[in-house]
Amino acid sequence: MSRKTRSIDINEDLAFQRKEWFAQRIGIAFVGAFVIAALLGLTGVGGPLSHASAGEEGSPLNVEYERFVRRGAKATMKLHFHSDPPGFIQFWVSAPYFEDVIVDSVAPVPQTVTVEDSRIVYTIRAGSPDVTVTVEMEHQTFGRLEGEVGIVGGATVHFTQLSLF
Amino acid sequence: MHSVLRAVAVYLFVLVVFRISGKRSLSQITTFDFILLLIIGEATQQALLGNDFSVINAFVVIATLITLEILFSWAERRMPKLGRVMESLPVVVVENGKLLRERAEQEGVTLEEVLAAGREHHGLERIEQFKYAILERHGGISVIPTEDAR
Repeated sequence: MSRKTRSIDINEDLAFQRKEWFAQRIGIAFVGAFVIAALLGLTGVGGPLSHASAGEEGSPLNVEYERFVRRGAKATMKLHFHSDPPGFIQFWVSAPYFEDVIVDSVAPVPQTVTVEDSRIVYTIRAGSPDVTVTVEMEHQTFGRLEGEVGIVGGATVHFTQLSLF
Repeated sequence: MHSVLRAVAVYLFVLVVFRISGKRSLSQITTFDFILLLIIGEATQQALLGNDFSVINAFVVIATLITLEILFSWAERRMPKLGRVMESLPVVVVENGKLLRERAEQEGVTLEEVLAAGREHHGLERIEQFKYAILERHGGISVIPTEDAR
Protein backbone atom coordinates (compact mmCIF):
# COMPACT_ATOMS: atom_id res chain seq x y z
CA MET A 1 0.00 0.00 0.00
CA SER A 2 1.48 3.34 -1.08
CA ARG A 3 1.22 6.20 1.32
CA LYS A 4 2.01 9.85 0.87
CA THR A 5 4.16 11.08 3.71
CA ARG A 6 4.76 14.80 3.93
CA SER A 7 5.30 16.12 0.40
CA ILE A 8 7.11 13.07 -0.86
CA ASP A 9 5.40 10.10 -2.47
CA ILE A 10 7.10 7.17 -0.78
CA ASN A 11 5.94 3.71 0.18
CA GLU A 12 6.82 4.08 3.83
CA ASP A 13 5.03 2.16 6.57
CA LEU A 14 6.29 2.86 10.07
CA ALA A 15 4.06 0.23 11.66
CA PHE A 16 5.61 -2.41 9.41
CA GLN A 17 9.10 -1.01 10.10
CA ARG A 18 8.68 -1.35 13.85
CA LYS A 19 7.72 -4.99 13.40
CA GLU A 20 10.72 -5.45 11.13
CA TRP A 21 13.10 -3.91 13.66
CA PHE A 22 11.71 -6.16 16.38
CA ALA A 23 12.06 -9.22 14.12
CA GLN A 24 15.64 -8.22 13.31
CA ARG A 25 16.51 -8.09 16.99
CA ILE A 26 15.04 -11.56 17.49
CA GLY A 27 16.94 -12.77 14.44
CA ILE A 28 20.22 -11.34 15.71
CA ALA A 29 19.64 -13.13 19.02
CA PHE A 30 19.15 -16.39 17.14
CA VAL A 31 22.32 -15.86 15.11
CA GLY A 32 24.22 -15.13 18.32
CA ALA A 33 22.80 -18.28 19.90
CA PHE A 34 23.87 -20.22 16.81
CA VAL A 35 27.44 -18.97 17.16
CA ILE A 36 27.45 -19.88 20.86
CA ALA A 37 26.10 -23.32 20.01
CA ALA A 38 28.92 -23.72 17.50
CA LEU A 39 31.49 -22.72 20.11
CA LEU A 40 30.05 -25.30 22.46
CA GLY A 41 30.28 -28.01 19.80
CA LEU A 42 26.62 -28.45 18.95
CA THR A 43 27.29 -27.88 15.26
CA GLY A 44 30.03 -30.48 15.09
CA VAL A 45 33.82 -30.66 14.82
CA GLY A 46 34.94 -30.21 18.39
CA GLY A 47 33.62 -28.35 21.39
CA PRO A 48 32.91 -29.34 24.98
CA LEU A 49 29.35 -30.50 24.32
CA SER A 50 30.33 -32.57 21.30
CA HIS A 51 33.20 -34.51 22.84
CA ALA A 52 32.05 -37.81 24.32
CA SER A 53 33.41 -41.15 25.36
CA ALA A 54 31.92 -44.61 25.57
CA GLY A 55 33.28 -47.27 27.88
CA GLU A 56 34.87 -46.81 31.27
CA GLU A 57 38.30 -45.25 31.61
CA GLY A 58 40.80 -47.91 32.52
CA SER A 59 38.63 -50.68 31.08
CA PRO A 60 39.93 -52.80 28.17
CA LEU A 61 38.17 -50.51 25.66
CA ASN A 62 37.25 -46.84 25.78
CA VAL A 63 36.14 -44.89 22.72
CA GLU A 64 36.49 -41.12 22.38
CA TYR A 65 34.28 -39.66 19.67
CA GLU A 66 32.32 -36.58 18.63
CA ARG A 67 28.56 -36.59 19.27
CA PHE A 68 28.03 -34.12 16.45
CA VAL A 69 29.82 -34.53 13.14
CA ARG A 70 29.27 -32.99 9.72
CA ARG A 71 28.71 -34.59 6.36
CA GLY A 72 31.80 -34.05 4.27
CA ALA A 73 33.95 -32.86 7.15
CA LYS A 74 36.82 -34.72 8.81
CA ALA A 75 36.18 -36.41 12.15
CA THR A 76 38.43 -38.25 14.55
CA MET A 77 37.71 -41.23 16.74
CA LYS A 78 40.16 -42.55 19.30
CA LEU A 79 40.03 -46.10 20.57
CA HIS A 80 41.86 -46.66 23.82
CA PHE A 81 42.83 -50.26 24.52
CA HIS A 82 44.27 -51.72 27.66
CA SER A 83 45.89 -55.05 26.99
CA ASP A 84 47.86 -56.74 29.71
CA PRO A 85 50.18 -58.38 28.82
CA PRO A 86 50.78 -56.45 25.57
CA GLY A 87 50.73 -58.28 22.27
CA PHE A 88 48.32 -58.19 19.36
CA ILE A 89 45.00 -56.42 19.72
CA GLN A 90 42.11 -57.52 17.53
CA PHE A 91 39.21 -55.10 17.46
CA TRP A 92 36.22 -54.67 15.21
CA VAL A 93 33.99 -51.86 14.05
CA SER A 94 30.41 -52.47 12.96
CA ALA A 95 30.18 -52.62 9.17
CA PRO A 96 26.92 -50.64 8.88
CA TYR A 97 28.62 -47.68 10.59
CA PHE A 98 31.46 -47.72 8.09
CA GLU A 99 29.10 -47.97 5.12
CA ASP A 100 28.66 -44.21 4.97
CA VAL A 101 32.14 -43.30 6.12
CA ILE A 102 35.38 -42.81 4.23
CA VAL A 103 38.21 -43.94 6.49
CA ASP A 104 41.17 -41.69 5.71
CA SER A 105 43.62 -43.36 8.04
CA VAL A 106 44.03 -45.72 10.97
CA ALA A 107 47.06 -45.13 13.15
CA PRO A 108 48.96 -47.18 14.06
CA VAL A 109 48.66 -48.96 10.74
CA PRO A 110 46.92 -52.30 11.25
CA GLN A 111 48.74 -55.52 10.55
CA THR A 112 45.61 -56.96 8.95
CA VAL A 113 42.12 -55.78 8.03
CA THR A 114 39.48 -58.43 7.56
CA VAL A 115 35.90 -57.95 6.41
CA GLU A 116 33.44 -60.26 8.11
CA ASP A 117 29.64 -60.49 7.89
CA SER A 118 28.67 -57.47 9.89
CA ARG A 119 31.96 -56.08 11.02
CA ILE A 120 35.45 -55.07 9.98
CA VAL A 121 38.21 -56.59 12.06
CA TYR A 122 41.57 -54.90 12.58
CA THR A 123 44.68 -56.42 14.05
CA ILE A 124 47.37 -54.16 15.47
CA ARG A 125 50.55 -54.89 17.35
CA ALA A 126 50.48 -53.55 20.88
CA GLY A 127 53.96 -52.80 22.16
CA SER A 128 52.67 -51.60 25.51
CA PRO A 129 49.62 -52.36 27.67
CA ASP A 130 47.93 -49.08 26.75
CA VAL A 131 47.43 -48.46 23.06
CA THR A 132 45.46 -45.71 21.34
CA VAL A 133 44.22 -46.21 17.80
CA THR A 134 43.27 -43.04 15.98
CA VAL A 135 40.78 -43.28 13.14
CA GLU A 136 40.44 -40.29 10.82
CA MET A 137 37.26 -40.41 8.79
CA GLU A 138 34.82 -38.42 6.71
CA HIS A 139 31.09 -39.00 6.99
CA GLN A 140 29.17 -39.22 3.74
CA THR A 141 25.65 -39.10 5.06
CA PHE A 142 23.60 -37.07 7.53
CA GLY A 143 21.25 -38.07 10.30
CA ARG A 144 21.51 -40.31 13.31
CA LEU A 145 24.42 -42.79 13.22
CA GLU A 146 24.72 -45.84 15.43
CA GLY A 147 28.06 -47.59 15.76
CA GLU A 148 29.73 -50.32 17.72
CA VAL A 149 33.35 -51.02 18.49
CA GLY A 150 34.53 -54.11 20.25
CA ILE A 151 37.48 -56.27 21.11
CA VAL A 152 37.28 -59.67 19.47
CA GLY A 153 36.10 -61.97 22.24
CA GLY A 154 35.93 -59.06 24.66
CA ALA A 155 34.22 -55.81 25.54
CA THR A 156 31.86 -54.01 23.19
CA VAL A 157 31.07 -50.31 23.22
CA HIS A 158 28.08 -48.68 21.57
CA PHE A 159 27.96 -45.03 20.51
CA THR A 160 25.58 -42.66 18.74
CA GLN A 161 26.40 -39.65 16.61
CA LEU A 162 24.41 -37.02 14.78
CA SER A 163 25.78 -36.14 11.38
CA LEU A 164 24.76 -32.64 10.25
CA PHE A 165 24.13 -31.63 6.68
CA MET B 1 20.09 -33.96 -5.58
CA HIS B 2 22.48 -32.88 -2.83
CA SER B 3 23.76 -30.03 -4.97
CA VAL B 4 20.25 -28.59 -5.31
CA LEU B 5 19.59 -28.98 -1.59
CA ARG B 6 22.89 -27.32 -0.74
CA ALA B 7 22.19 -24.41 -3.06
CA VAL B 8 18.68 -23.91 -1.66
CA ALA B 9 19.89 -24.13 1.95
CA VAL B 10 22.77 -21.70 1.41
CA TYR B 11 20.60 -19.25 -0.56
CA LEU B 12 17.90 -19.18 2.10
CA PHE B 13 20.43 -18.89 4.94
CA VAL B 14 22.26 -15.98 3.31
CA LEU B 15 18.92 -14.32 2.51
CA VAL B 16 17.75 -14.59 6.12
CA VAL B 17 21.11 -13.47 7.56
CA PHE B 18 21.25 -10.37 5.36
CA ARG B 19 17.65 -9.47 6.16
CA ILE B 20 18.40 -9.80 9.85
CA SER B 21 21.48 -7.62 9.58
CA GLY B 22 19.50 -4.70 8.18
CA LYS B 23 19.40 -2.63 5.00
CA ARG B 24 22.83 -1.08 5.46
CA SER B 25 24.57 -4.43 5.22
CA LEU B 26 23.67 -4.54 1.52
CA SER B 27 25.46 -1.37 0.54
CA GLN B 28 29.23 -1.24 0.46
CA ILE B 29 30.07 1.49 2.89
CA THR B 30 33.58 0.88 4.09
CA THR B 31 36.53 -1.32 3.23
CA PHE B 32 35.55 -3.58 6.10
CA ASP B 33 32.06 -4.13 4.68
CA PHE B 34 33.54 -4.92 1.28
CA ILE B 35 35.97 -7.42 2.79
CA LEU B 36 33.13 -8.98 4.77
CA LEU B 37 31.15 -9.55 1.59
CA LEU B 38 34.18 -11.11 -0.08
CA ILE B 39 34.75 -13.47 2.82
CA ILE B 40 31.09 -14.47 2.90
CA GLY B 41 31.37 -15.28 -0.80
CA GLU B 42 34.37 -17.49 -0.16
CA ALA B 43 32.70 -19.21 2.80
CA THR B 44 29.62 -20.08 0.78
CA GLN B 45 31.58 -21.36 -2.20
CA GLN B 46 32.72 -24.53 -0.47
CA ALA B 47 29.27 -25.12 0.99
CA LEU B 48 27.72 -24.82 -2.47
CA LEU B 49 30.11 -27.11 -4.30
CA GLY B 50 31.24 -29.47 -1.54
CA ASN B 51 33.90 -31.81 -2.86
CA ASP B 52 32.44 -31.86 -6.34
CA PHE B 53 34.23 -29.40 -8.57
CA SER B 54 32.83 -30.78 -11.78
CA VAL B 55 31.41 -28.45 -14.42
CA ILE B 56 28.01 -30.14 -14.19
CA ASN B 57 27.82 -29.53 -10.45
CA ALA B 58 28.61 -25.85 -11.00
CA PHE B 59 25.86 -25.70 -13.64
CA VAL B 60 23.38 -27.33 -11.24
CA VAL B 61 24.21 -24.88 -8.45
CA ILE B 62 24.02 -21.84 -10.72
CA ALA B 63 20.75 -23.01 -12.27
CA THR B 64 19.26 -23.63 -8.83
CA LEU B 65 20.22 -20.17 -7.58
CA ILE B 66 18.84 -18.47 -10.69
CA THR B 67 15.63 -20.48 -10.39
CA LEU B 68 15.23 -19.41 -6.79
CA GLU B 69 15.83 -15.79 -7.74
CA ILE B 70 13.18 -15.97 -10.47
CA LEU B 71 10.72 -17.72 -8.18
CA PHE B 72 11.13 -15.15 -5.43
CA SER B 73 10.84 -12.25 -7.90
CA TRP B 74 7.66 -13.74 -9.32
CA ALA B 75 6.27 -14.32 -5.83
CA GLU B 76 7.05 -10.73 -4.80
CA ARG B 77 5.15 -9.35 -7.77
CA ARG B 78 2.14 -11.55 -7.01
CA MET B 79 2.21 -10.94 -3.26
CA PRO B 80 3.30 -7.42 -2.29
CA LYS B 81 3.28 -8.36 1.38
CA LEU B 82 5.90 -11.01 0.65
CA GLY B 83 7.91 -8.32 -1.11
CA ARG B 84 7.88 -6.22 2.04
CA VAL B 85 9.04 -9.12 4.17
CA MET B 86 11.83 -10.02 1.76
CA GLU B 87 12.98 -6.61 0.59
CA SER B 88 11.74 -4.26 3.32
CA LEU B 89 10.56 -0.69 2.67
CA PRO B 90 12.28 2.69 2.41
CA VAL B 91 12.54 4.76 5.57
CA VAL B 92 12.76 8.53 5.88
CA VAL B 93 15.65 9.28 8.23
CA VAL B 94 15.98 13.06 7.74
CA GLU B 95 13.07 15.44 7.37
CA ASN B 96 13.34 19.21 6.92
CA GLY B 97 16.91 19.34 8.13
CA LYS B 98 16.41 17.20 11.21
CA LEU B 99 17.68 13.67 11.74
CA LEU B 100 14.86 11.37 12.85
CA ARG B 101 16.86 9.76 15.60
CA GLU B 102 14.71 6.76 16.43
CA ARG B 103 14.58 5.60 12.81
CA ALA B 104 18.25 6.31 12.20
CA GLU B 105 19.28 4.37 15.29
CA GLN B 106 17.07 1.41 14.48
CA GLU B 107 18.52 1.25 10.98
CA GLY B 108 22.10 1.83 12.10
CA VAL B 109 22.43 5.04 10.11
CA THR B 110 24.60 7.79 11.52
CA LEU B 111 24.42 11.50 10.83
CA GLU B 112 27.86 11.29 9.29
CA GLU B 113 26.67 8.72 6.74
CA VAL B 114 23.71 10.91 5.82
CA LEU B 115 25.93 13.95 5.40
CA ALA B 116 28.33 11.89 3.27
CA ALA B 117 25.46 10.92 0.97
CA GLY B 118 24.46 14.59 0.69
CA ARG B 119 28.00 15.62 -0.19
CA GLU B 120 28.44 12.82 -2.75
CA HIS B 121 25.24 13.30 -4.71
CA HIS B 122 24.39 16.98 -4.28
CA GLY B 123 27.39 18.73 -2.81
CA LEU B 124 25.41 19.63 0.30
CA GLU B 125 27.31 21.08 3.23
CA ARG B 126 24.92 21.06 6.18
CA ILE B 127 22.02 18.99 7.44
CA GLU B 128 19.76 22.05 7.18
CA GLN B 129 20.03 21.77 3.40
CA PHE B 130 18.34 18.37 3.45
CA LYS B 131 14.63 18.28 2.76
CA TYR B 132 14.56 14.50 3.00
CA ALA B 133 17.07 11.72 3.31
CA ILE B 134 15.68 8.28 2.67
CA LEU B 135 17.25 4.95 3.47
CA GLU B 136 16.27 2.90 0.47
CA ARG B 137 15.54 -0.82 0.40
CA HIS B 138 18.93 -1.55 -1.16
CA GLY B 139 20.72 0.16 1.73
CA GLY B 140 21.70 3.33 -0.10
CA ILE B 141 20.71 6.79 1.06
CA SER B 142 18.75 9.05 -1.31
CA VAL B 143 18.93 12.76 -0.62
CA ILE B 144 16.41 15.39 -1.65
CA PRO B 145 17.81 18.86 -1.05
CA THR B 146 15.73 21.89 -0.10
CA GLU B 147 14.71 24.32 -2.80
CA ASP B 148 17.38 26.76 -1.66
CA ALA B 149 20.13 24.16 -1.80
CA ARG B 150 19.41 23.03 -5.36
